Amino acid sequence: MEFYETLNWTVEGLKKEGLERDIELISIDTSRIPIQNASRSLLNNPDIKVIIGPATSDETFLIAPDCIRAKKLLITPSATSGDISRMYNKYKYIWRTTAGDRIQIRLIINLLKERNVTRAALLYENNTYGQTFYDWVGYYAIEAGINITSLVPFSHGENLSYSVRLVCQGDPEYVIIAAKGSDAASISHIVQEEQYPVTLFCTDSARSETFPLLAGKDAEGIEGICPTADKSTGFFVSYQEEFHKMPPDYAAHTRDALFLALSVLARMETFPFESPDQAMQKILSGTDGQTTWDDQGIIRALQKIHTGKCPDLTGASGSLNYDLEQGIDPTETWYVIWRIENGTFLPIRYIPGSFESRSTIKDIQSFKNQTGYQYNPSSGDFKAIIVATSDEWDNYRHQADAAYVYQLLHENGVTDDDIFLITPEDIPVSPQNPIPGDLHHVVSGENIYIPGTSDINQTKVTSNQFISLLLGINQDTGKPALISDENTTLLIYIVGHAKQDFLKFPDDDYLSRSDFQNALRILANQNRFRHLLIIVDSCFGESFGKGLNIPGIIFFTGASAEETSKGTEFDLLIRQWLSDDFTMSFTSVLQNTPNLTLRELYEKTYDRVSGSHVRIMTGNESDLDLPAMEFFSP
Amino acid sequence: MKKVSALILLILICISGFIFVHISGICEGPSDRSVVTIVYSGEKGDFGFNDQVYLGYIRARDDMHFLTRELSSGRVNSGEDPFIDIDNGLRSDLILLIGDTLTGYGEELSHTYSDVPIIIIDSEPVNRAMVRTVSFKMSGASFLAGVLAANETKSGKIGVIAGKDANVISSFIDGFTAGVNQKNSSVRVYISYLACDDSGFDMPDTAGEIAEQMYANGTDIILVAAGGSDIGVIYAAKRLPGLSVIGVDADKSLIGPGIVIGSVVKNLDYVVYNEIELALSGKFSPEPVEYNLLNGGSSFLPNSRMGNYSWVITDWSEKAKDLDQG
Repeated sequence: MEFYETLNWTVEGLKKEGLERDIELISIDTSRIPIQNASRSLLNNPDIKVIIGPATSDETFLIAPDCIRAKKLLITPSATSGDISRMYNKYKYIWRTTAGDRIQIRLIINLLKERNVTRAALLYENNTYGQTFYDWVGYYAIEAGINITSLVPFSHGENLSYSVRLVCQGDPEYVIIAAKGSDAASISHIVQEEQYPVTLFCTDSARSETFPLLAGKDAEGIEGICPTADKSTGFFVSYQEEFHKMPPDYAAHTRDALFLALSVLARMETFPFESPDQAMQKILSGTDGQTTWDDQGIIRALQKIHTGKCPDLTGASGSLNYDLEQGIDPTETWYVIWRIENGTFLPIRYIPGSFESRSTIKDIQSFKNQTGYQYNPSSGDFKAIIVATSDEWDNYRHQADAAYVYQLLHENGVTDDDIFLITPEDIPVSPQNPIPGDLHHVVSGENIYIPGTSDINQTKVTSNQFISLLLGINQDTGKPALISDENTTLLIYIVGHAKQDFLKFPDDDYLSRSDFQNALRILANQNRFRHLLIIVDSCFGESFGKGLNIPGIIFFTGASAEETSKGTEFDLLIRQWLSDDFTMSFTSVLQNTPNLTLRELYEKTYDRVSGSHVRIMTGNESDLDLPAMEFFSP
Repeated sequence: MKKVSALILLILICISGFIFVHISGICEGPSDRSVVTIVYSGEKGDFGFNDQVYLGYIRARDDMHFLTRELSSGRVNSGEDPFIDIDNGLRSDLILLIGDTLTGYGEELSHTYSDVPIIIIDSEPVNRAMVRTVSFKMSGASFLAGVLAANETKSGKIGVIAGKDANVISSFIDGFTAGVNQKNSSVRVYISYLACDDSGFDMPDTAGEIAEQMYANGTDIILVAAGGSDIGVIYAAKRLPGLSVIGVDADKSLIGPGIVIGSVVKNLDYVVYNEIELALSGKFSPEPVEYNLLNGGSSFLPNSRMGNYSWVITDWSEKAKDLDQG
């Protein structure tokens, strides 16, 4: 209702200032009408060009693909999942007037850095909301030089004693709480009662009256953050004058969503040949004089647009600047740091938040200069083991990545005899697959699935099967087994899910770092390779290679030990990520510039991967000067 | 992102049809609506001086239906003309300059546009035919704050931290000191200025350090009149048990609810509204005007959450008004 209140106020104000047509605001209560049913009726109505909403990220995920296909603009003021911009960035039909929670976690980490914090942990609700914080806390902590001691999920409403104990075990100075107010209250109570020596810092979800009400004195002094308006716009003053209370968190962004909607409609009326996405991009790139967010400012903007101009729009929440190449979010969103004092949320600092520019990305590993290493081409054979460890439809990208690496090797002349492919092969035949038998790696890309290519193609691939194949244990039984010698160049490519030190296979089957590395030591002791490149594309990938100090082995991964990896190339039709950023990046680098050393491949891939820190490790640094293509061609 | 309520999971607002816009004057040259331009020293969003001014401005806008144009001192300094909006050709019927740092600029402007009424809020008098200056006598309201401080201090030591030594500050300090002495002449008042220039109004860290020093010397109440530096004193007081603060300009209890025992305020919203109304109704006069406790331009707001201080107003207002009258 708070959204509606703000929108209604705006519409009434515009009418008073001379907007001669009624703007019809239709609110749809999705607790009664399923969101997809509601959206279908809107999308089928040719008169409706723009939709403002929905309120939550889950709902946005449900209807955004349909909006894009129907060419209707969707402007959401409050759906802040980090994945929204990553999924829909290239389709300019989905827009936000507030930045995602990725910026929120970046600001939190920066704040902790300001306070000289070196160890922090995350306790997060295991849902879409918590996922963004889980996905990005490690990434920004690495940038800030903060050690994330643990990432602990919980379910809303459960007894949180165990989770709180777990998150405090790593001795963090701060625990970041991504939780609703009632859970934050429980957490603060447990921390006080158990006297854990940690400071709590909450994300925006905790800012509800429930928190101080339930927590009482346990909440006193706890800080947090939430999005707000740029206070210099005067929105706070105007809103309080109208409603006699401070605005709710997303009120300014809601008003701005309406402002953008009206502006783009005016643009479409003036330039009817433009498509809605083109009109929106024009609106957001205006430079013909600045206009303000108040009623008179909006009217001025609309009149200018009707004369063919593109004014520079300023919103109630702040400057409505968008980097149209980079995203669908404003380049800056304001946040307020709050502290609970005497049972109320007291604003203590207002700060702007924005995405980092690529130039600030640091933490690339530095190695000595070229070692003067003289490369002797291998006279031995080449073998590759490709493993996709996950099954089920939501993990589409893992099997697509595995198939893509298989295809890459094939194109380079590696024969089937020298490639072991381990993949469940359930995706192409999944009943959820709208293109039966298909597996593709880029949107509208060719089918790269070749039935029966997997050497172990039972639906449930196990870690034992992989290790047995690697060690050649089953040579005599006719099962797939690696046969290699001291001249063999070996590539192991693994893609799937992981947690720190464990690689996940289906059915809670985990391959531990120690088991994996023991197998590699056996291979090394048996002189079963000349050089071995291990590529792991998973969350916390670096943790799987830590301590692996065996000459001849190079370990290359897309994510550090403290962070998640990220999907890329979202396909609207099948509603799945098609690839992981790291695999997409290193294969693309290799295809564009095949004559790279491993060192150069690392550096170029590091620059390309945007959501995690690429890592490379080796027992012998001169191995980094090996030609990368040695591991991708016979 | 959080869900807005349990029931309303989604609000979809459908925008359809055509947007027709017509408003006289906004983009189409001559208009029957007046244009009132306001220039702020700095920007809005200070939860104090400028925001109070803005409140009066929008109240006047809504009641008097004039066209607005807002500028910051930065934009004016970079060459933007407060009289003519080159974007749409609209000319200002009235220009408000906010803050004494714009006094000199107001004088210059009156030479360029000698027939346009200019009102400078919180300024020393300027001798120009179409320039009206508005000043505040804060002695009376500050006197009430001094009475309260003298009553509440346990150590008998009260501090004053001010941005700089200037006339706009001295009426706070003089009235406050008078109130303290009137209530309890044995109480000592220690005054500290943060700087010799306007930088003292943006030194929250230094202000906090001085507050800590005063506290270490036994001070238990501080009046802070230092603009953007005020927050440093309020935050320091949150760390220092037993230290209370009296704010100025706006109700500072909103940022220090358990710290600020009262605020000496300029009722800028009322003043700005009143001045615009006078000017737009043809009653503009270049005669300088002083607002004070008697004409509603200033007041003292005790923080009722910190105690029942209403006696200060009921028992001492007459004496405070005498001070302003004098």
